[in-house]
Amino acid sequence: MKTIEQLSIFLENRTGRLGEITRRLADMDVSIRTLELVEAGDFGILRLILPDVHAVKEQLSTQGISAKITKVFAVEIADNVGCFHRVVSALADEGIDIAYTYTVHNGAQGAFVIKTAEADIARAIARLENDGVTVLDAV
Amino acid sequence: MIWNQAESAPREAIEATQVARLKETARRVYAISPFYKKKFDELGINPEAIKSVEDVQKLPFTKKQDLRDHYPFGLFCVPMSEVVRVHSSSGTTGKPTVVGYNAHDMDVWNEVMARVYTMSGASAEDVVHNGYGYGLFTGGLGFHTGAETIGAAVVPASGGFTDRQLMLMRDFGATVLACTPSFALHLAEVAAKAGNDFRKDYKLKTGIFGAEPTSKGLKEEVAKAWGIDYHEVYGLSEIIGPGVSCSCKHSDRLHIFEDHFLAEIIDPKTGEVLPEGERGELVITTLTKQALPIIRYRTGDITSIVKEPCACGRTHARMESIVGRADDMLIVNGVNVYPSQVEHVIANTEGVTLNYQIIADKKGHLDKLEILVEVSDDILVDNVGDMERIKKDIQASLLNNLYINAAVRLVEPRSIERSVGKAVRVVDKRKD
Repeated sequence: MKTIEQLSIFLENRTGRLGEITRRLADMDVSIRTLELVEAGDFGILRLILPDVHAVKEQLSTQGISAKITKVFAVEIADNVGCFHRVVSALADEGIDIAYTYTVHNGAQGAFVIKTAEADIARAIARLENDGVTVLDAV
Repeated sequence: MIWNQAESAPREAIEATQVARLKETARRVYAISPFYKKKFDELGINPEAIKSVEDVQKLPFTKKQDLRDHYPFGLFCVPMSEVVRVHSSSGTTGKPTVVGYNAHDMDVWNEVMARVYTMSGASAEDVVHNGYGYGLFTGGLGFHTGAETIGAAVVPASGGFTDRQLMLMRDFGATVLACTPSFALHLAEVAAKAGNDFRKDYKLKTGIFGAEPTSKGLKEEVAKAWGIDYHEVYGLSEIIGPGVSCSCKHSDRLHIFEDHFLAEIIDPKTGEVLPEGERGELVITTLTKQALPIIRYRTGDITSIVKEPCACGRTHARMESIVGRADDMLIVNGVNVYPSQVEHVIANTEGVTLNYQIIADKKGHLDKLEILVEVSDDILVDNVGDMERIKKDIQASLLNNLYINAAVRLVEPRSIERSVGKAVRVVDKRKD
């Protein structure tokens, strides 16, 4: 299945905290593919897609930083108006809730990263591929 | 003015009354309460052996846990058909501490509250603005029916709604203010927005403040802010509610109504009674309560007692304003909070660890409580909505079980300060 593993790190909202994490990632020589930071008042969650989330989670853990691996999937952003709407309405049609979504772009290609309940992922991918949406192996 | 001449009886007469009532109370609990019968028997005590006030020292202690263990009415000594009022305070496991009153107990409560009002300079001529919370807590209704007993007009304002309270105080011409000292100061601060000469719009002359530990500085600040006399009241629901003791205008110490409450000061570690004047834990035996008589209740409050007569004419012994706690109880805006209660709430919340920290601080003159909780190492969720739900669950549970409004902040694993591996549970920033 074309799922992608994403690393989520809980962050307290205080000065310098994000920098502490990014410094450690740089020290580990980790190339960050995608990054999304959501904030909710006094805390936030940093979501990262990296080449080897398990190794990074392990290393962060030895440094006292907790992270969680979650499965998401990514679909290609087709270069036409309404493409996101087609993805969203197909999932709605299947009765699948999107927990959150964000976009990434690597210069050549753009993608929507989508999080649904894990049990819904296979069905979501099948439906989207059936509708002609390109589901990506990696971002 | 003194409400009842019993308050100025000679020491021998006070003690004669105490011995007779102590003996009667011991007889009653021994005959009616299986809990006390067992405790007395274990110690080999016969109520008939009580010959002096000092003999109270032979009796067993009662602790808050005993009330919880017999939730809700297990320690009542009258049938429910005779009970006319029930109050309760918050409990550790969601089970509160329940107390009950029969008609006679209500008379006792109103009697001691009438003494409190009179000692504070109030009479039938007065309008009492009662800003203590009405409800399960004893504060609101204790001050309410006490005011009616002296014939004063009582305004049952309860807590909160500062602007509306100030309007009522102005429009109704309140002369007596009854509330927590921190709320009194908060009211003054808001009232002062109308200008520094705001006092001309109010007729307050005296105030009766209690339900939270109060420094001398805060008392002076409240008295100055409103330009009124400051009287401190002490009490606890397990004994009766407000009305165990009160300060007169001649002293900072609080007269204990000794014909109804027998007070001792003990070493909280050994349980030994300490000499007069020494500080220790206050222990109270009710002498006239019928529905829920209590023998040697460990209040957890640290104070001292002196018996020398007072310039006001009263001879009842005087206790110091509470100087601290024998246990880890916090008082937040008049509500008692034990860290173990907070811990229980957190233990029943998924997605967080039992590493928490309670931070008590002041926001203006009111207390505010913040609870830091470490999220679990293996965070169960990675979306904000679920995290917010965890916060709200903890907040709602604290409100439902402990009756407190607390801000909850989720923090990173292992971020709470630890001393020798153990997390620091309580940080009280109110103590400067």
